[in-house]
Amino acid sequence: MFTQLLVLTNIVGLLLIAPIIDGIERKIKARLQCRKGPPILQTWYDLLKLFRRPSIVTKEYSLPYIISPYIVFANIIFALALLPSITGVALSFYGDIIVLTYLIASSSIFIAIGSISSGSVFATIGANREISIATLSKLLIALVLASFVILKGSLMLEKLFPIIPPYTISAILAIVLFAILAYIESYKLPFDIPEAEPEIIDGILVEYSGKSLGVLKYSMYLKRVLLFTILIDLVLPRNLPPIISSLAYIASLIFVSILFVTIETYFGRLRIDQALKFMKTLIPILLVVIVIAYFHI
Amino acid sequence: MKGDSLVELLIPAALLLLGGTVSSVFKGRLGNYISSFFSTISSLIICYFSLNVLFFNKVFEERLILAPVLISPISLPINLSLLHVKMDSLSAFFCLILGVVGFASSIYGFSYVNRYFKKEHLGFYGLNYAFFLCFMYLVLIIYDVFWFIIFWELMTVTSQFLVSYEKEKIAARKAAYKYFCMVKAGSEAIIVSALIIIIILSGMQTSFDIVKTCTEKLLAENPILANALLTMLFIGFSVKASLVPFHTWLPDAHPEAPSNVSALLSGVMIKTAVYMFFRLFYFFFKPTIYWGYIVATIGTITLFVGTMYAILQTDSKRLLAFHSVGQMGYIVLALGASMVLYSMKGEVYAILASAAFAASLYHALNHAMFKSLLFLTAGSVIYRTGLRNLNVLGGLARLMPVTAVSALIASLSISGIPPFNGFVSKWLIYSSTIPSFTLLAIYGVIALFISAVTAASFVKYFTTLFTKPSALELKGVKEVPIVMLFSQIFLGIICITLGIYPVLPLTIISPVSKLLFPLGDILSYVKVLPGIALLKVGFVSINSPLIIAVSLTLISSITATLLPHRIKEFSVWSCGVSFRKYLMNMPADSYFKPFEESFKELYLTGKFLHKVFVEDFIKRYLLSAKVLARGTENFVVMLTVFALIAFLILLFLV
Repeated sequence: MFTQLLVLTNIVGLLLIAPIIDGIERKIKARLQCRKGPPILQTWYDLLKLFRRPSIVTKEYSLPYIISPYIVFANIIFALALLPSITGVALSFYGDIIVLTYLIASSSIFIAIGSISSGSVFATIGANREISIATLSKLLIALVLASFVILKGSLMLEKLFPIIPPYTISAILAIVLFAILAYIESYKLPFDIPEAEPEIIDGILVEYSGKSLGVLKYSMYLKRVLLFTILIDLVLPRNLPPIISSLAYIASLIFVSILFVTIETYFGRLRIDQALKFMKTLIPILLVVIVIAYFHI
Repeated sequence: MKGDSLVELLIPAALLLLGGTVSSVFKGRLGNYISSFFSTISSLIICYFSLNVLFFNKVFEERLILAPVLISPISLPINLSLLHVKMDSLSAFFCLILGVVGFASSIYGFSYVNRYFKKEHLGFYGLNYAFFLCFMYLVLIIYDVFWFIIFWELMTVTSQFLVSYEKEKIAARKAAYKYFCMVKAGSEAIIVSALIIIIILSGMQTSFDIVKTCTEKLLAENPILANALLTMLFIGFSVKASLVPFHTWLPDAHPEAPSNVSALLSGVMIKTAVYMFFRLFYFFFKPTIYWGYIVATIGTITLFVGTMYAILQTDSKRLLAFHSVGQMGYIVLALGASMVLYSMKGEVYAILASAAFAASLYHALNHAMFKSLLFLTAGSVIYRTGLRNLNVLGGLARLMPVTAVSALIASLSISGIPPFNGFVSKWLIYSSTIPSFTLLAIYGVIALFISAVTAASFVKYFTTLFTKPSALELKGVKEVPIVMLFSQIFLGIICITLGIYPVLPLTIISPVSKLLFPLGDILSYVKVLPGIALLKVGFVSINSPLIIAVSLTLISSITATLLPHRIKEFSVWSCGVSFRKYLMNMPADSYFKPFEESFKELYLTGKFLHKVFVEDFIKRYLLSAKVLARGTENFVVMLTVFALIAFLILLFLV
């Protein structure tokens, strides 16, 4: 019961933090572009406003368009429950890492199905890009996962975290590659191809409005936090006292988001085929990582 | 020959033969109705028998003497008059698949097949459909190598007639010829010759038990011959199982049959080959690490190639047929993995091996359910629109809501989205292969990736059929009749049940493992709690799709109810110009183009191999056939040949 409470604390805490993290990112981005930027709580204000608004639907819509934002949200929440975040406790069972990858993938799938169901061709294009990237990144995630499993010998996140120590080359490489993957999956520039505001007018989000849009945006912020959390869990030692551990987690969350947003500011958007090509170049590197992980280098 | 048990097991077969024969008399709807009725009844009886075997550990065994008068005077070398049928747990497991899918597709056929009324002879359909079911059933329960050959042949023949049922269509005829050439002329020659060698080696005794002792002896005394026989049989059956590179007949043949027959072909018929793989590797022969790696490698290649080609397809049923190839790869990969892991020593590997063994059978069961459901939904679309082309179809979710929901359930199941059934079996596959510290880990990674590709292609299948706006005006399209809906809902419920309650299929698999698996009952490794399959020891512990399902549905429903809907309808935003309904959409051709292009090396290789091994080969074959034909037209040549044959016969007699 205590575990469940701690997991609930994790989820509620992240629900509160996720929009603030986005607010920080917006602020920093603005500062880097010599603008003043909105207040840090602006994302929360935006979300609250969206939740108050009525939803407008298209004339061509079908059922998945209405329900899929909520399913995406539920998927992300469940994925958060599997990870140790603010408290070092999580729902843990054998093979939870596979469930985690499936939950991330299924959130992409439901976003795609939902947005195509709006009937808009821009949304269809966006969904296609989303699925193309998500599919190829599943291969990379699977490879990273295999290298983690070979390093630690278990399919349980609990036994996987943290990957270092031992400070082997393969472990460090695997973490760096996972950081790149997390960057791609969180759809930051140059990889925000499914949303691409100037080309396909927000792509997957084009026909969403009001509460549905709010839920979708909220789940996207949460997904970013989820990916950051995995990255942090790979490195952050959990043998500290509880309060310090939580603070260390939140500090590293802010650090990672600042790091990523700084990178983001210096890039323009890639074309979809360029992005896929970039992801393909990671495959041989990951295979090498797996091989050297097998020999404990 | 005991009185009461004599007929028991053969009742469904007899009913099907009777139903088929009677229905062939009627040209009209009655032909279909009679056949479908008898098929439905016998499917239920088959389910009853197999559930009895699986849950109450009964074993049905019968020896039926067909023609007692004939045997004594002639005394044939093989005792042909004895029909030995036995339903052990392995047969029962596959019979259960046959029963459930047969039940759904027979009920579906009541209404679906009437669309051929006045175009085709419905009695001919009835005859072949019932006989096809009957011979599949007999293939699964027969306990005699010789009769197995006969029923296997008959099963292929009847299915071939069903593939070419729409005989006016060139594509159907071509597909049936290809099917005939590859499966019947090609693979069955290998199977039959290998089985005949086995029969001869076992001293003309054809019962499975005796053949088993013979092969075991052979394995000890002459392993080269034993492995050669195993290779022949494996190649032969892998044509039927459509493993790469012998898969090319399937994507042509399966879509051409009537949709409920496609469901049976993809759901059950290719599973008979899996049944034979289990018989071969675990019953007749012993699982070895080498064969394990061979089987697992072929499985991985199959799942990769099948699914990567499926994502290209724009024909609804052809897409599904390619996925049949891909999903067979998963089943075979798990089978191979269980053989490899069994051969490695240690407690941990024993757990992984039993998980892989369970995964193989579990995925076979799941694949039968969701693939037949998918074919039925594709059939429902054909029933109302007459179209299979994903480029022009669309927007059917508003017109056919129940079909859309069942298609969504099946699509999510095959993509392995929790909490549907595909997820659990795929989870078992990954968790047995990835932590194994062997080559299997890479295979598991490929399987994980391919599962994402599967999901992508089912996003395409579902959205192009049901949610994307259509490219033509679909007039008068409404929901399909109630019998067709019933089959879809029935299979949909099974898909969900097998996903959220994995204990049920695992208890069904447990007697199979008791019979075949050298490590014994998988349930001794897979500890079962309500709704949660816990594998023993800390190493492999929990699989809780139930928890996942419940929490997912709870969370999403809470969020959905907390935020009330206020819905206003507006036209689709199209940057200021008015929305043009049939023009502004994305055809299925253009789906995932960048992704496909990033794998173009694969497709170019495939094209090259097809040119070298298929097109050029056919050209050469036709050339040699022409030369042969020219030769036989010549009177002198013919005479010489006849003389030679006559001389040989004379020599033989003397």
